[in-house]
Amino acid sequence: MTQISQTIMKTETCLEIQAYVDGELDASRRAVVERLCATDSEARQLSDGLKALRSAVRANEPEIHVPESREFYWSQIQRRMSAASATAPTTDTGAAWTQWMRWLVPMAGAAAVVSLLTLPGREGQTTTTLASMSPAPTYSAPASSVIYRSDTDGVTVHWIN
Amino acid sequence: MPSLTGWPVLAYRCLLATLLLPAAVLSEDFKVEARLVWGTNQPKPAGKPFTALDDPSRDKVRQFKWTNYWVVNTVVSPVPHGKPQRVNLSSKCAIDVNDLGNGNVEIRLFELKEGAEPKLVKPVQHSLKALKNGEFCILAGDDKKVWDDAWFVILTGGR
Repeated sequence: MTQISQTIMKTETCLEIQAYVDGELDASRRAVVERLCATDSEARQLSDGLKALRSAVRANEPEIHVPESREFYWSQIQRRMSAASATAPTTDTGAAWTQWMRWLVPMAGAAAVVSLLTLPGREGQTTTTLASMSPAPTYSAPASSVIYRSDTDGVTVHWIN
Repeated sequence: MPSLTGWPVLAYRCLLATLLLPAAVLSEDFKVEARLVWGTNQPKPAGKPFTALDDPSRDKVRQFKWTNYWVVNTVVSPVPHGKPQRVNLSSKCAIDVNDLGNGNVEIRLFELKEGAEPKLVKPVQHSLKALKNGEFCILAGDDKKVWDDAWFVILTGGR
């Protein structure tokens, strides 16, 4: 029983040291853990190890770049909304609360769109409309491709990824 | 004194033209037609001078899923030997073509950005004879700015 309680306490101490490294302890517990790390070599070793691991992960996290631009995702949202509104039922049905929802949901969506649009963009690009765009290849790195060939049709397509 | 006009002179001139004509034809550069095409399910945007892709060309791309193929721009370019000839298909896209001399034509696709050097996207090679015989060489890809659309650069022997 004593051994089990000692093991549990040690586990709790480890978790508390981890919380201390993550900055999740309140002031009183932080002071206790700092004193423990100052006096106990095992606690200090654990704390130092966790801090080193946090630094290594933060410094070496790979940056992921997607080839598509912000406009790509917004255009998808725009088209899906257009398609949904085109197939929406035109007759009013249901109780009064459904009529309230018909106004509240689009307004909430519009507020979300406005708030996202006002966030700083990656390249300061503005949203373009369908009428102003023309298609263009946009690649940040040398492109790979897949080749399709039809001898019957006399056509070769190089699809660039 | 023999006459300087009349049928012997005329016959001589016709013979000269017949002998020289093949040389004149052969010395002309082969021309390639490049069309920038937008594949989309959307209708033509209002105010844009796009035309629908002709039926024979549509048949070549029938395997693709899009409903509409709008020709954004058409350019005819000679295919020089040795030195690539660049043509701009739009403000964002250009190609250059070059007869490699080994029976193939090299087509290089470039991305254009204002204030920056043209960026090579992809070089491809295609048989010159095949292009002269009416084959299609198509470079294509997903439009990175618009979901579910695609761009095509359709190259054929110049008409």
